[in-house]
Amino acid sequence: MEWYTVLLVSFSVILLLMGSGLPVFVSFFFANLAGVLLVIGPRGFGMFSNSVYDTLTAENFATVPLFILMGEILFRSGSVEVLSKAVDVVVGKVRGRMYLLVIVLSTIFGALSGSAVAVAAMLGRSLLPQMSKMGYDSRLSSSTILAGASLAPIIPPSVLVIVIGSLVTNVSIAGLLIAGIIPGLIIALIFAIYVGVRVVMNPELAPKQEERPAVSTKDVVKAIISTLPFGMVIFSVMGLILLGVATPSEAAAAGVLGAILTALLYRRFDFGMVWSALKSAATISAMILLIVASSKLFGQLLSFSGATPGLIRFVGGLEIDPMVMLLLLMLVPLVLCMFMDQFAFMLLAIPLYEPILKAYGFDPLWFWTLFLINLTIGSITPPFGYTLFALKGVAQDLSIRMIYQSAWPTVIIFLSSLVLFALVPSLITFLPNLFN
Amino acid sequence: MNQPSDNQTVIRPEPWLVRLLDRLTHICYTLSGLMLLLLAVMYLMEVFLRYVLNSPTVWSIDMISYTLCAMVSMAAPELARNNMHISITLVPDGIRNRHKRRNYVRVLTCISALVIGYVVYVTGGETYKLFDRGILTVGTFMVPKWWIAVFIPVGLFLTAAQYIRLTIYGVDSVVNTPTQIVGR
Repeated sequence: MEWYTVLLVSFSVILLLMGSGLPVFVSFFFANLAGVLLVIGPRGFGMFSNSVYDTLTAENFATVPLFILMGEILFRSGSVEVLSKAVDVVVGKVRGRMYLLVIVLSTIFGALSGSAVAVAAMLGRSLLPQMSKMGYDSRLSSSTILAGASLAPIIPPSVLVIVIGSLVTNVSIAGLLIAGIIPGLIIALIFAIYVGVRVVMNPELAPKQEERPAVSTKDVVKAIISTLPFGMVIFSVMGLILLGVATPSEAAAAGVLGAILTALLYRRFDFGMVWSALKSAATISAMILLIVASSKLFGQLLSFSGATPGLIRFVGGLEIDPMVMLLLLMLVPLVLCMFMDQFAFMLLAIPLYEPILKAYGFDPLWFWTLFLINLTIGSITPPFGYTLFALKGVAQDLSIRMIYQSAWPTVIIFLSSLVLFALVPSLITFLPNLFN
Repeated sequence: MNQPSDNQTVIRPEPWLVRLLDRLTHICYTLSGLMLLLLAVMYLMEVFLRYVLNSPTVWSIDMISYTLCAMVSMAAPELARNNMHISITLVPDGIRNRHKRRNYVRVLTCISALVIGYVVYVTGGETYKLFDRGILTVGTFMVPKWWIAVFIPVGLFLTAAQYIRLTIYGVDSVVNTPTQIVGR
């Protein structure tokens, strides 16, 4: 069978299985078992079993539950409320200050949690009702929250980065994590400018006068001091990785300790909360890692059947401009992630994308960070982005139609940023190179 | 004899097999949480020993890997019980007729049970080979490999059993709300 037939058939089968509504990990298991039986026969069962075992015992993946646990402890303990209050005090008296507050808070939350859904739920539950009551425009408020939440997978810690970094060869997880810092901050800045411009052009988007108690310099200093424990958590994760002192897994463990200490300092620690956080983190991690484990063999089978080598030869023979190829490689996740899970897509794409990157000589750090931002856009693109549903879940007053409409400006800003990072790779590679 | 009033919900007792399955699933889920706690503690201990006392252990990284395998495998049945495994629910959500949708979901859970059942057969067989041949794990802290690998067929066996339960009794018998949105 020709390589393209193998590729077409295997991808059609797996997309059909996933599209039918079967759990993603079951779809991968089904396709891989069928593939093993067709290509190797029952002798390949050992290979199948080992692929699951090897993934579930890969130490790199231990970072996933630890990062999730860190975020869970901070959110479940209510420690982030202290942070919210402090940032509220620090953000000055400007028109549309709540929009700014959301952006600043979500940037910090992004450094405390790797989950866009968690941040969207947190902001949607705490700030959105307040903004609505104060007369802020619901659509712009929703846009701001979606944008802020989408920073979480880009700014370290990021679960998506751990999975990408663990599956891709010749790129360090630490480097990939660090690479997200500048893009995350730039997107936050661009969104702040966008909101500022919108409010200046249409003052109706924000209330004229906000009731806010007078804030003295002393209050601001006190507010900043109250956030210092969060600095400890951020340093435990980003600082240790940047300094090259600890591996991402060790940094994640230090982050968990930092989160517990933060909860203790704010007197919000209790064992019941930790137990709930542990169970929740185990649940979310299992969801993700089972898919990764079930999909591992898919790439190997493609290679074994000659599909991947055939694709490499084909792509290597094409005389396409690298930027056009990059555009094509980015267009596929952008469209597919509107309809399918980011993790499922990522696991399908990585085995195929990796050889193409090598053939075109793309910098893996740069490319995979662009890929990550692209996946994040998928989670806020209507009609099936996870983050949209998470916001709807906590903001009952907002219709899903309104949330969809509010998502488009965010999607456009993220896409524009993606173009910027594609054209100026040093924005992504500068920090990893500096701390290499 | 007390009769339930109209507004009271009459809870039908579940068969003992379902109760046993739920009990086992709950035990596994609790184990999974404990495994994550163990994993975090081992990492923290390793960080402390390595960077503060400059004497890292030779076994902790291997133990962390083994614990991770157990943690994921033991959480899988609970996810299946609540129909929380990630799936793309475009087709089932698009079926407007409730009865047809329920039947369609039953077909999906039935296929899931069959596929996972076959995976249990494959991984169980391979685990037995590991036991039979006395194969050890590769690493500095070597243990019989089947000690770790056995978590996979056990976790998947209970997962398949939960899917059979969902096929027979329906997804609504356990949860009433769609759970495709996950916190990640």
